[in-house]
Amino acid sequence: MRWSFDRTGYPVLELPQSHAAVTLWPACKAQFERYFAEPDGPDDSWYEQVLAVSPRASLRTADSNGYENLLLAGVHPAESQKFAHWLGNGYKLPTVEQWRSIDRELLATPLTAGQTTELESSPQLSRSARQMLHCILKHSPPNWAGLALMRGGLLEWVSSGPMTYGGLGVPRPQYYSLIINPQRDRPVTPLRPDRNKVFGFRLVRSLN
Amino acid sequence: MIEQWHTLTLAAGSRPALILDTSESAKAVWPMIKSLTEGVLETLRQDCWPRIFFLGNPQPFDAAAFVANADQWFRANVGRGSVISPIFDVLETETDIAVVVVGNGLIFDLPDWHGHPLAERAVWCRYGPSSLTSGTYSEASYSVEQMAEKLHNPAVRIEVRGPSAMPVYWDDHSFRYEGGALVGEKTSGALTFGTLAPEPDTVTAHAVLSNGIRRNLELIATEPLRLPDWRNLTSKEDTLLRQCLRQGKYCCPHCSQDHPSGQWKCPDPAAPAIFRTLDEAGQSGFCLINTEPWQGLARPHPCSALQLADDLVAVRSASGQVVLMRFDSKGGRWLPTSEPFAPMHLVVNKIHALVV
Repeated sequence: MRWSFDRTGYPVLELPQSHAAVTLWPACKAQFERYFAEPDGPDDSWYEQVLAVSPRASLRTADSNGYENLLLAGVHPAESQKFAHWLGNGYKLPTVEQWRSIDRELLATPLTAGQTTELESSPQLSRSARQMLHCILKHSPPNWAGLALMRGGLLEWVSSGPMTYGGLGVPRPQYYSLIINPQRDRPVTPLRPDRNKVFGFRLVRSLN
Repeated sequence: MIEQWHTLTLAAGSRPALILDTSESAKAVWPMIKSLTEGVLETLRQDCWPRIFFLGNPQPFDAAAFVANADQWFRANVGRGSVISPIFDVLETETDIAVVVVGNGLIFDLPDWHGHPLAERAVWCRYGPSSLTSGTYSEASYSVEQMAEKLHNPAVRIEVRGPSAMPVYWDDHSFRYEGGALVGEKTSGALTFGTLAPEPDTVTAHAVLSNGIRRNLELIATEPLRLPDWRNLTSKEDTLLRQCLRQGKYCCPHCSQDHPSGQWKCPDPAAPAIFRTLDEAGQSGFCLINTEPWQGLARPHPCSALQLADDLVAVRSASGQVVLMRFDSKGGRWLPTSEPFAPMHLVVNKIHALVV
């Protein structure tokens, strides 16, 4: 597995079979807050609305029961694209096929102790990303899909057509009860336009 | 007992950090924050001025340019989200600095820093209706003077201590052995000292800052300090001191009366100095005399501790009283004894220690 880091110090996996580089995790709150801290980022009242739907957990105390609250949920696709634009390098929401290809490739890639040690010791890894990594590793993920929360994370916004978005992923039942096979079923579309705690997003870019 | 020598250097500490909130929730109180900051800078000496940060921005701003640029800096930073991690990430290793946060409204990522010294010791200054810390930390609207006091955080005391360790010599006469530690009010420069302990590397040194924070000081192992050279006693001093050793008293050349050992000055205020060499050698700490050679010798020991044996150290207080500290191997610590320190206390062979 090859990886690099985005401007927030969070890992980005390079997946040759999928011809894509993809963020290791769905956008995390601590990661997003780097954009939030910019003068032209979203304002406090907007973030308060998001946190009302998806409360913020502390990276210092988050445990395996509530790691979903470390992820940025309750955002709309257009809002995620603003973050993608700030992140640069052509990041965008994945298409349905891109997401599924990434999912398959990560499911087929075993996770070794050497890889996690190498990732953890990387000087480019930000403090909060390192804390996030520690939290996810407590679950002993068997493969990269587990570490990447492709399984056990959120429903992630994917582009299913022009200006059409749905969610793919496999949330843990204790967080959100939903039976879905993301490789086969259609992306989930929310019934209402309100913010929803199960919808987050992951960004991809083409592999250079 | 293991004798070790160390040097510590007192470098100027990092400047404190004043973090100003210009987020949406605080921009209405910016005039108050600006005025408060100007007042703090007027109150503090320039060499104590803090680094200025704007909440969300890891870039420090020079306090010297604040008055001229405050509104411009505000415009460049206004609207940043209320998050403190970008700044605390920069300051993460400076856990002993004073941090004051001024603003209004919740700092969203503060829970990530609960338990970290930066957050635990920060002063939270709220100017508005909304809590900064959601009740986790005490918040108040401090005055200019109170803020300045909280930001000014000089080292007020140096402490060197270690379990079972006893300082036996140091090169700054202002330091004293007190309450089991070598303490002094030095705030710059270096200190070299030797210690005795049954185990090696047990000594630590701290600068105690005015806000109570203890800053760990690095100790560098070093060579033992070189003691002053022996010098000849005058014939008259030599004769009188040998008389003291034999009889416990000497006949004063000024008043022709006997004075006991330890009374090294004639009580007559008009009397000239009798033991001029001792006076010069023993102005602080102790004076050693060696009567082994035909012509006696004296050596200053300019330190208020003097090692007498492997487990025995004499400590002189500011008033001139001497207490003998002996190592208690059962308790593993140095304890004062009731043993007296003789006016001419035998150290080894024909070398005696005196307090002048």
